[in-house]
Amino acid sequence: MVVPGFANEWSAEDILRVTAVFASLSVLVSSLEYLTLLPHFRDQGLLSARTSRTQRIPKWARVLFQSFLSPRGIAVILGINTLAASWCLLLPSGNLILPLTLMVAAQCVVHYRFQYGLEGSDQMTMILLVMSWAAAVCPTEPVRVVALGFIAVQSCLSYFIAGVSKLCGPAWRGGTAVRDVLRTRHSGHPQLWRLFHRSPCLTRGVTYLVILFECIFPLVLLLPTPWAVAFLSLGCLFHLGNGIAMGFNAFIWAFIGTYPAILYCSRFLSQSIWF
Amino acid sequence: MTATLLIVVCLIWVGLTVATHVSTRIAERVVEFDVFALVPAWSFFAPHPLTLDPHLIYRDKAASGEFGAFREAPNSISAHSRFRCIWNPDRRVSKSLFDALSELSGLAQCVKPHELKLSFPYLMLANYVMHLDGNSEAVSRQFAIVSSGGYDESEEPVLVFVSEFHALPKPD
Repeated sequence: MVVPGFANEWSAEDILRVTAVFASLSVLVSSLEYLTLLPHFRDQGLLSARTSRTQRIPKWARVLFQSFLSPRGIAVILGINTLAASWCLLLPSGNLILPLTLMVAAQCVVHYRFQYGLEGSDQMTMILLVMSWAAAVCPTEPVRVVALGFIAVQSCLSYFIAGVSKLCGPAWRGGTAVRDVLRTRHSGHPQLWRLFHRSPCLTRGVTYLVILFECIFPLVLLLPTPWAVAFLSLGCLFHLGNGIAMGFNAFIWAFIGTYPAILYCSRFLSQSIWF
Repeated sequence: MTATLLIVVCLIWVGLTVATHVSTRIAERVVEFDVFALVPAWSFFAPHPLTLDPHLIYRDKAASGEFGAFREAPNSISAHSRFRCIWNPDRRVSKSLFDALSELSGLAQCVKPHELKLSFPYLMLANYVMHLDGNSEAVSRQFAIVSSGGYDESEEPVLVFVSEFHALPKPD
């Protein structure tokens, strides 16, 4: 199935390859980041396997993954991830079954090993990887459409749930949440915090805009393609802003990586509504 | 056939995603078996955004009974880097520490002390703190969690949790 008028008539297969590239970028960056933290994986380190073994997890998982918990084991897993992600990035038009299989398996171990420290970007990356892998293993048009549809639904859900949850929070409703988050060293930014601290109107405006953007995000599926592109451009700015202000670098690749799938789905949905 | 199977998998995945955000009880059940964290948590910074910085601090006790000063464990909060929108490995460490500190602070309110000492965040933090360099005359060490207002230095730090003293491992 080809989307006419969308980026020179890209097919579902092309769009899934672009999705795999974004997922690979996310995996490559996070794996290289973890590899720089190897001293923390020693028995004396913060991310020691000694204490990760104490987690309450099913016995089958402990038996299956025990050997990957050591610093050397997890370094091997991260190395596999790095190589597989590089493969997808260097040869995106080739056969991606093997690198995607390796990345899905390795990411499962990474998620298992680092129960603390996982972020929404890791979970979105996993969704992109699993769907790209399913479409690579079963390269039929219905499977590709289902895979793209699932990515689009999860992406819309992620924004919508985040928006609605914010509506339930007093700090968000009161319009102070963005300023209060920016004051933390963990997720904040000193200059931006000072700016927002001095301007309550700006704080309130940005806080409400974030809630509005997240709550109405699913409507992008119903917009005609040019409007959908414009709306998703706002999404790109949103994630770039979060990356600069809050240090959420992995979210940029993982969440913008869902946008090609959203555009693909919005094309069909908006056509059935508007034409 | 394959597409039908994939549709079923996707429906279950979406169903669990929605259900875990609607019901805390379902979320707790899902976390127990979801060892690969496949069911996503999408409520970013909501409903209650994290507006405080947790800090892990520790102090030593000598054989004479004398207490050392409290010191902050390294890597508690990552330093602000200009390139962190591209490259931010410190965030992985600080997020792990942040998650453990947050969970321990929450557990301290609702479980008995002996259960707390066997909890994963307690063991993780104790293992880390006990292996940090310290005074050679020290025989035991205590750790604590303090929350601060981050860049807002007008807010006084608040003590959230204090551990018992634990015997320090003997040097090799």
